[in-house]
Amino acid sequence: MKLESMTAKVRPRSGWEALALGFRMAHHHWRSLWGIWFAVTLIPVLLPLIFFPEYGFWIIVGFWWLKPLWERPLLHFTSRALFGEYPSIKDTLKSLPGYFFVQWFPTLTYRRLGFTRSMDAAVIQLEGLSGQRRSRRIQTLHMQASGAGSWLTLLLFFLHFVVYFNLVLMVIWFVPEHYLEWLLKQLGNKLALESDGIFTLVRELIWTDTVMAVQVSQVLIHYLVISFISPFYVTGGFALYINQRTILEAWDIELTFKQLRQRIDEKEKKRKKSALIASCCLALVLSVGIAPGDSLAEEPEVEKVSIEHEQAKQTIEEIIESEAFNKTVTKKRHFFDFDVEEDKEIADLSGFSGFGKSLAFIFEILLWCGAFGLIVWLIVKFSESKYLSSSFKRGKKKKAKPDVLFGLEINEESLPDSPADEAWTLWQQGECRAAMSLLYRATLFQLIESHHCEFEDGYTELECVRIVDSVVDKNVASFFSELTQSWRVFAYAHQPPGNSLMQSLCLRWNGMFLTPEPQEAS
Amino acid sequence: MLDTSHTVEIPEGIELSLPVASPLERILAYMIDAVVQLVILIIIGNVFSLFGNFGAGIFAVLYFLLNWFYAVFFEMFNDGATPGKKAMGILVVNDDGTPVSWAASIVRNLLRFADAFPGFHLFGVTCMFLNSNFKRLGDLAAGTIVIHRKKEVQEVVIKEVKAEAPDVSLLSDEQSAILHFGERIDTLSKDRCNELTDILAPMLKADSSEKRMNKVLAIANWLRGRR
Repeated sequence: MKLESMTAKVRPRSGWEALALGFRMAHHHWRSLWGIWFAVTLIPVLLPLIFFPEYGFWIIVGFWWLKPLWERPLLHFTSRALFGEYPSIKDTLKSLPGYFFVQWFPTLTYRRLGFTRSMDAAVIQLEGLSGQRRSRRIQTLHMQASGAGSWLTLLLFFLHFVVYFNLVLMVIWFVPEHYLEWLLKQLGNKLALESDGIFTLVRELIWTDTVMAVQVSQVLIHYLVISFISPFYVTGGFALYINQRTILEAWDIELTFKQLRQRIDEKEKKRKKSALIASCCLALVLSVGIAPGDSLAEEPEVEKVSIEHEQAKQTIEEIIESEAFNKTVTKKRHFFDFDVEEDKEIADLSGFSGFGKSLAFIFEILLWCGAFGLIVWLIVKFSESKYLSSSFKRGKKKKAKPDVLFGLEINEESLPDSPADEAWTLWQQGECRAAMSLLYRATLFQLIESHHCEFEDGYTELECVRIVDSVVDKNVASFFSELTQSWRVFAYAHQPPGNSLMQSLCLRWNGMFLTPEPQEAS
Repeated sequence: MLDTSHTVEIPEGIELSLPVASPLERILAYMIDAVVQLVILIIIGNVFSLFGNFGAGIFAVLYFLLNWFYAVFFEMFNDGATPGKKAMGILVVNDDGTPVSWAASIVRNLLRFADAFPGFHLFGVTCMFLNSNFKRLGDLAAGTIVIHRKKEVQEVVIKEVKAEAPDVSLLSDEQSAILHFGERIDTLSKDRCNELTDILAPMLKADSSEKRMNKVLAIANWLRGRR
């Protein structure tokens, strides 16, 4: 047994997780497992069924009772597949005589109904233990997590009948109606004939033997269900067995230790090798007396790299032109129209009475109150809402005006009476920044106050320009954009506008915004 | 390499492996849930039968809710596990390992109906047994997966000996194997322990099996941080 070649991840698992591993094994090897199963079992089921179809019940019970034997080739395959050796169906069948009848008598008599049969099969078949050694071995293996093994047997047995009844149900759906009626009539006749009616009915539900065709199909359905479940049963039980051994014998630790050992050995070998090479080189150098030239050693390598580069390019192109990259797939989708007829039923309310009726009445009133309450609440909520009020009351109320725009304070108190003149004075005194900012602030203030431009706190200068463009007349807009431009150049690029430009801006400001003020004053 | 986990790569490039729950546990969990539902149904049935036809109406509504939203309710408010799943130590998560979302939970539980076809869950059971992650139709549609709840790891005592550093630098797998050895030494026979430590002979530089075992224990102690 070589742990290194194991095809499943080795680690101690819980019982349930081990079962999951077993089921995944069944998925992984499904071709072989079911292939082996049908190769072994098809003949033992079909032959007797053809010759003695009237004994269908006993055929399937007999087949089920012999199941431990049918499962042996599956276990044989699974145990080998786990260690990376995949015997073909043929090989498995060839080696069948070697293990098929091992301890057949106890297996088919007093051990047949054991709950942990799936786990214990490996001890008999793979370890070849018998008698006391076998029972001691099984005891050791059962020390932990044998519960999952019992559950596996119980639940799969239960599932057998679940799946069986489902399949019977489906078959009945597909049986033509008049034939089904005839079948039921036969059953009714039989029930009427026999005295113990209920007992017969129960028996008939589990196994109907009135008609030959029904018998044969029942055998086939049972056989299919057993075929579906058995490989899962075998791999699940085997995985539990492997898991127990992993826990008991620390397989996971052994595996990692072996890998570590390999790593150490390789390292050691490499070290020895390099030491050898080093000593050889030293000897060579000493004997020749000349150090090997670096350039000589390097040249061929460069060439090699460039060739590789060329090759790589070619390979890339080949791959890109290959089929995988030039696949066209046409997909069609079908849409269905569902014409559903709706049946409307009118609820019958006349039956309400007494306490129930009054309670229902109270609930109805409460419901109506709730509904009205909801409507009122919605109306109130909506009338208060920002969006609606702003659209209803546009023009009546102005939006809150911002006091600060890009860090500049914009309100009446912070501005002098004639800001343009003030700005010009400041400019002449050499306080260029103060002058410019005053002029800009005053402009913004006037735009907000007398032209109703709606600026918000977070706007940038250019956003303001865009708004001004859409709201005020061309004259003011062009002035504002010019002002903004000089302001931005000054504020961010530190390039003050020329004297003449500043003067003209101040004059134009006076012409545009100052005129209405005396009117307001008067 | 066959394994029992579903691997998810998170955006940080780390791979998480979720231990997938086997169909048998799920069937058991389903049975427990069916019993719980039946008990609830009997209780509310008895209570509402006192209220006549009106009670019957309320009962019908509750029956509907219980039937269709029992699992959704518990999956959303009980860490992805119905009482049955909790009892079996399993839970539902999205395929990417995140807690199951409302939409996914509703889809997977509405599709119980499809899984139950044609009467006793044939489709669900077959699908669960054949899918590699043991998903039923509802799980496939909703993109959910049923996994084992991680058990709280209890600290296992490692026999205390004087810690020694290993001569070779160890990879993380190897470190954990040595720690496992220290933890499980009591469950293994002495011969088996010697067999295991003999594998590491060139690393341990000790002449007898006894000494080698002690050296491995000393390294385990060192890795545990008893330096």
